[in-house]
Amino acid sequence: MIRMIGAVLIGCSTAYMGVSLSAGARRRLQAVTAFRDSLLRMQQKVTFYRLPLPALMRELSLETSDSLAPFYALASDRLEKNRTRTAEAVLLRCVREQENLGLPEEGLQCCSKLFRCLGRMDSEHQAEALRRIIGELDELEGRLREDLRRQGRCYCALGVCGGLAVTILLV
Amino acid sequence: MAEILEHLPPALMEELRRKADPACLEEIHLRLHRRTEAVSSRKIMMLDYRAREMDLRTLLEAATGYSLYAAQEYLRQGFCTTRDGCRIGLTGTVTDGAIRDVSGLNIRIARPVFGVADRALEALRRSPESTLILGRPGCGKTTLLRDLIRQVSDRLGERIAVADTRFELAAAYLGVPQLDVGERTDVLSGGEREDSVMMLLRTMNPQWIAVDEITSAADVRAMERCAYCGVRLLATAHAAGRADLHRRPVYRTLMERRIFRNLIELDGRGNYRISGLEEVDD
Repeated sequence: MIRMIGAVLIGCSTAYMGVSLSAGARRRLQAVTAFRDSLLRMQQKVTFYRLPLPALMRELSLETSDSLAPFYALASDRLEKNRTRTAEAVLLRCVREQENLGLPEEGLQCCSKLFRCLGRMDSEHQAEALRRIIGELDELEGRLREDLRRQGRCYCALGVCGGLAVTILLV
Repeated sequence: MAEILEHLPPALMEELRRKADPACLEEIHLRLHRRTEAVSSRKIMMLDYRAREMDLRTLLEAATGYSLYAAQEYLRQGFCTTRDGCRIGLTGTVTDGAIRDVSGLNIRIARPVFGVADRALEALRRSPESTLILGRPGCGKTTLLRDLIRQVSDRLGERIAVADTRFELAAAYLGVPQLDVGERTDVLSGGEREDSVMMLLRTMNPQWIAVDEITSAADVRAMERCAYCGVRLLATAHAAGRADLHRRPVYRTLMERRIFRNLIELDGRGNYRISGLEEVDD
């Protein structure tokens, strides 16, 4: 009986390890999805309302997910108070201060691309640039989702197999 | 001090502080690679600072709230307005109807002068008729009109609508006037003058309508339509004096149709003269 309980515990802990390994990947996926969704909102506001960036960021801070709201609030505040830096520098600094928004490396590259052009074009070109970056984030999201599915299955299989192996050995 | 001045290059700001009081600045002309010109208390100064491309770009970014797309309509017309009402004129190369390769900026600092229209208001009390303010560019027409709007609204207690196509009178930011134009004042910013005036006429039931700088036949048409609807007008026009009104075809039409009854002429030294237009012209 004790062997059985020990085997189950070891099996569970192996599965838990697998799950926690995939949790990081899931968080990155969620961060990319949330960022992509916020850019969709941004695109609408640029196209239809043409809000200046500080006001746009303030609105996004009220409308986006909890994970991104502090970033947009900070960005709005910093842009309002900015006197010496370019908007790109201000926004990149805000991203760094918000722990890179939980984005993976490719996501951060999209961020840089966006901030390099944000506010420097007329509305049509701005919307087009946003569309392109949203497209890139879509691709990234697809890749991350696929990775997560594969990794999840792999970790799950490892956990179950490991557990079974230990059970057999012990029993 | 105007907010846009905080975005000037530190070296230029330092020089400005040495040579003039930044609180009294009226205009700053920045021209690429050339010396900067400043106007303070009606005195013109040439500064040693030469503007760089980066300076012009930074100022333009700041003036548009880091959002060229938000100001694109106005940039196409060669200017943009900051949120505290300063107007920035642009020079460069016109491509596809927009100014690219910006090579010069003219920052005009909006500063309300309370009480400047006291005498004009007294004249309006005696003769509450449509009034035209005349003067050369930069002589204070807009400042006088802004204060007159405020006083008609607050002291005369009448409803006044402002068609602020270039954001100079009320300096609205996200729809909210940043300069005091009175409690009973409705402001419609941006758009085409003729359309704005008609919208105000139809929707806001104004007793007065104010517009800045009548320059085209379309503006005159808008004035006519208002005048014949029983609304009184307050407007400004670029002209050196009464005689100019009859020389320029646009203004001649206004005179012939007797749309304005009062005339305020600015002399460029801060003084103005008020007279009845009709009596003298008859």
